[in-house]
Amino acid sequence: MKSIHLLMTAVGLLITSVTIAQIQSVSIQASGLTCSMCSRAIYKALLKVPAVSDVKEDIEHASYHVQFSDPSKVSPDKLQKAVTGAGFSVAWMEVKANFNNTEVASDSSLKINDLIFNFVDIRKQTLNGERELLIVDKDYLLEKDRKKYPGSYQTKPVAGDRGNTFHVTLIQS
Amino acid sequence: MKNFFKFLFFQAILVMSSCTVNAQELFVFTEPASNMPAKSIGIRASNWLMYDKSSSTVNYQLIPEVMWGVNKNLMLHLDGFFTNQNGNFHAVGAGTYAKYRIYSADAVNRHFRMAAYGRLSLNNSAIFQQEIDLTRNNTGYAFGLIATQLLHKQAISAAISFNQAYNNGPENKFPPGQADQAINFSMSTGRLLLPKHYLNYKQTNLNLMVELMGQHLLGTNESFIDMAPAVQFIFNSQTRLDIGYKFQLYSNMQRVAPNGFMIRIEHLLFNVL
Repeated sequence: MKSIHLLMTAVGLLITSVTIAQIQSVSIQASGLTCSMCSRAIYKALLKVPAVSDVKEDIEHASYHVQFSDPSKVSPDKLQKAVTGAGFSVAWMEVKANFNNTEVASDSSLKINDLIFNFVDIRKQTLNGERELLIVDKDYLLEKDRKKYPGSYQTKPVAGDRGNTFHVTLIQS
Repeated sequence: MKNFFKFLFFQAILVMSSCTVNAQELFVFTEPASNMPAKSIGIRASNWLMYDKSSSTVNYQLIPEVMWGVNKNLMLHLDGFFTNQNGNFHAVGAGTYAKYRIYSADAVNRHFRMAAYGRLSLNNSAIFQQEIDLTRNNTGYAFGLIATQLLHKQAISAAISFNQAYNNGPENKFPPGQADQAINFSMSTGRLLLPKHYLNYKQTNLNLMVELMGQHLLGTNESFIDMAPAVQFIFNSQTRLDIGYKFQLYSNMQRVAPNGFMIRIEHLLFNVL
């Protein structure tokens, strides 16, 4: 019993010790629209999401660059719901974070603030500086693009509300 | 040679359809399968100026409307019906409309959507025609289906509905012997013409649309088909001005004023709820 406690403490320490990355911004491309009225509906909905300080839009490509007043309160879940609430879907969502000697590999987890990122389809590597994490979960990436990341299908689905856990992969830079 | 002319003919049809079959999906005379944004309110005023053949006058009808995006799938409308019939401007009724999105397949710059809708209208004006019109002349209900395909700057939509008319209050009974049920159908298409490239939300959008709307009275062989081209301006990505002209292409039923203009102004209030 004691050993289980010890193990849990060790795991707890391990998770807290990997909080060594900082979220910078989130980029989103929406799908299902072309007109600027539709684009503005998404823009306005994103601005209403808590902790969002600024949204830069590219109407032509239906994409949005979202910045935050408090990066510790970033919620991809709320951003995704803002886009669907406006009547559209998310084509892709990327979380830009700053890393400092962070070791990652497929099936490894990374906790940034309250968010847990599970990596899929990447090689073992050490991240430094700014990198973009592409969320590969259903409703966060077009189905045809999800197929490029078989790892996203092997992972256990999250019951009910996705909450704070996401499966991500790295965009090769 | 004959084949060459055939080829030319089909090319010409293709070019014509890509020019005239225009506009996006914020149709002027019909509704698309897409909904307005959730938690938003839209207000619109539709002004109908229809030429009355029998009295050689212009009938003016005003339909103020409030629209509410309840959630991403459901939207509700409430509308009032006003007219200058009989020389004085007065209210003749009110209606409610609900639309529910049942299918959605989105891709970048395109989508295919389907929606089911219903309408309930109360109207106390006198009934002078066979056409059943639940937005301007008749008490009754309707329900139907809409399918809309958006392909970048072009949209195409089709709708079909069942319409049931009743007495227009105790004083204006539905004419006995006249068909009180109808099937309505429509085909709409539109194209975004301007701007060529989006830079910001302040650019004025110009859409061109052409719609075909028809009705068949059940239990009879009576029908009509109208055509309605329209031009639409969207200012500040928030306010719409529609100017459309509707005219009869074919009819073998009695109608009072099938031809005329519709001018509408609409303003969208994003995320106010």
